[in-house]
Amino acid sequence: METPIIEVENVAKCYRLGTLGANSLKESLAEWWSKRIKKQTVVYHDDAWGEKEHCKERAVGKDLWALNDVSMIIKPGEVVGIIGKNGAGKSTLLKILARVTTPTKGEVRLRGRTASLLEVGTGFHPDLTGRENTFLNGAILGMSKKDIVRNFDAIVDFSGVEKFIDTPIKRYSSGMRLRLAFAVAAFLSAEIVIVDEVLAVGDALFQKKCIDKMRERAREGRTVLFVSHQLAVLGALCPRAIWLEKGRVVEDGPSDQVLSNYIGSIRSKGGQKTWAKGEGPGDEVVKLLGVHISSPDKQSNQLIIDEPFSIHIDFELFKPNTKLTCYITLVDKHENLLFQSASLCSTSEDGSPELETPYNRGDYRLSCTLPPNLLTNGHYLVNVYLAENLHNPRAVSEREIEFTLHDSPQWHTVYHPHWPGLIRPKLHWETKPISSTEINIS
Amino acid sequence: MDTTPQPLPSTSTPQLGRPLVIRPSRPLLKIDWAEIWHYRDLLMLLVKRDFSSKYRQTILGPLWFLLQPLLTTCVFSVVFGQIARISTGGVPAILFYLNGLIGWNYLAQTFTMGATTFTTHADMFQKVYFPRLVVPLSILISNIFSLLVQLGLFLGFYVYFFATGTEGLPLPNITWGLFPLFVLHLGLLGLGCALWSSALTARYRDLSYLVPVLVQLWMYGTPIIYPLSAVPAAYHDWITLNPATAPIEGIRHIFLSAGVIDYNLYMRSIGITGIILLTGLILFKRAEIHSTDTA
Repeated sequence: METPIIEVENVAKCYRLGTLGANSLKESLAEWWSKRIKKQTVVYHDDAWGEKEHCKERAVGKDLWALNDVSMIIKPGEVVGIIGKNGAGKSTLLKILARVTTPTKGEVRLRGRTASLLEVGTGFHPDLTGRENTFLNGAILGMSKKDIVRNFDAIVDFSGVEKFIDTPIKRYSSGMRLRLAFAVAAFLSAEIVIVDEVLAVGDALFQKKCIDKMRERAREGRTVLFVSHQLAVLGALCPRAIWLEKGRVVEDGPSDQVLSNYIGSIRSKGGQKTWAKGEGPGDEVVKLLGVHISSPDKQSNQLIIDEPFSIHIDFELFKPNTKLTCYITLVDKHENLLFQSASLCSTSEDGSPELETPYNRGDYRLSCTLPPNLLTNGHYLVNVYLAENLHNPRAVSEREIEFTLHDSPQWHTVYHPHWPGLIRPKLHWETKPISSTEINIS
Repeated sequence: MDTTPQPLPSTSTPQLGRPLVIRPSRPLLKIDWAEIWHYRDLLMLLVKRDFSSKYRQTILGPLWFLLQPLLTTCVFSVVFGQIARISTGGVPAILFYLNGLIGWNYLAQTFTMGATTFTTHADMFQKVYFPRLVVPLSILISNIFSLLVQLGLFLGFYVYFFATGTEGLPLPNITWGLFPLFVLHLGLLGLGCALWSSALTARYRDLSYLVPVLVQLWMYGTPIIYPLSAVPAAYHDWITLNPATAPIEGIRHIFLSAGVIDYNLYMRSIGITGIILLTGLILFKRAEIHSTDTA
């Protein structure tokens, strides 16, 4: 078997909650006092394996195991994507591999120089010029001055900021700064490259350039570890994926398989959800009865982008005279929150805002209609929140309703199916001939 | 756990060698000097950054390197020389203060700038690994520049007073060669204090307010504005426990023939400096491991 370049063996990481952030001297002295002088025993935490833990506890339940018994073996030249929800432990794992923190237990063996890009532009100093920052940032990432000098022209060329290379970067736009930062990172010569979400920067064109560069690095035989919420990018870049959940490895295998299982897990059954009376999410004020999606002619969650559709929220209200607001948010498959809409923004028949009309006890249906040609094709999740007096959440349904928007048939035949962008509004375009005088004026 | 490197079969990537092992923290005094040497380019770039970012967008620019000690010396001359009339041991006041400040400023600047290593670089430390010791070392080096400027300033005044026939000033002589050693001593002492205070402020932010006060108090406890010979006998033991006393007096002795160089005093100072530096390194290594989890 080929020698692995990265070996992660039973790694666990414990963070103490509540007292994150530097302690005050007073607190530490108080702890020392109670430990040494009052001879109180320190409570140790028994972990899942029944071993005595290093994590001291002042109260039970204050520890957070960001990683728990994670193992993996990565061979040279592999490109591995790491997926998981927020808080699954992805960033902690990368931080340990990047050596900015140490594991609470377990061991990692790295056989090669490691460059970690947990952020682009680390150490950029606003008062220094682009040139000076290129050298500084490169050195921080572990490049020698010789390497940077050799690649300097290529870096500047890749970033596209050559005109401003001797300008202090505080005068750069944020896009320019990111482009320069990524360019430096792209020319690192390490054998292991660890990348966290940094590709989510810049315009679409630069993103594509970055992804191509990453591919090129992988082809050169570098080992790449890549964390991203953009599953499509991750799937295209990484043949292998590792799915983390609550600090543990759920699945490790070919990325097609792991990604589809992962997406399956975060999706619900369909376009409608109903609850028996009194069984739905909610409390003593209001409970949900059902949420469903319909297009004008049928009840379905398979929709066409140039047709309007509605989201209906049924609920039962127990408390009389309640001012109720309903919020919905839409999330796409890359976890982008596209928008939030609240029922108070709409007005009732007579023109008064909904919030001003308290509801009485009873069952209600709230309907929200989305216009045609708003979103692009793809898969969406709906979150529903019912709140009393604007801010007190009473009933919540998250990720239980989904729908798919399809291209309209005409559209599909004319254009490539992957139309870029999060939304696809239909805008007004027109063409008219102009005379040469008009050109001069503008 | 078995950590001995396994003999590796030859692979397509020949650089696979002894693996780098990341393990739960072991707070030991184990400093990888080879690694720091590997990051020497970063060290020098940090020095350059300190230097060139400090005086960007200032009117006088690097002239401040001259003005700062000059203004301090003027204040000292007026307050301690003219008003309080503290003895300068027969040496012209300006020369006396400038001389004391050369070494002291190097120590104090290294101390105060190094004390915030973890707090000012927290963002960077969260994201990238490099030997953290590079940061205080770069401060030690970048302060050499202002030290040289102040030395030049002092020598300028020395020449002026010498030319105008001030009595008691020694001619340039071989003992001046000891100056770099005194500076090294003060620098390492400042580094030790910086390591201590940066490690402690990484955990207790309160202490960052204490450092400037501490430095100020320490200055008054060191023979900068007064000669060691003027210290009452009752305080003599205390002031000789101060590890900064010996090298400051040493610099005064070689340039002005005014200070006291005492072999025992000096050995004691070296010993105390060594202890501060060593314990500082241990604390710094510990803070290096824990700082990213608590920042």
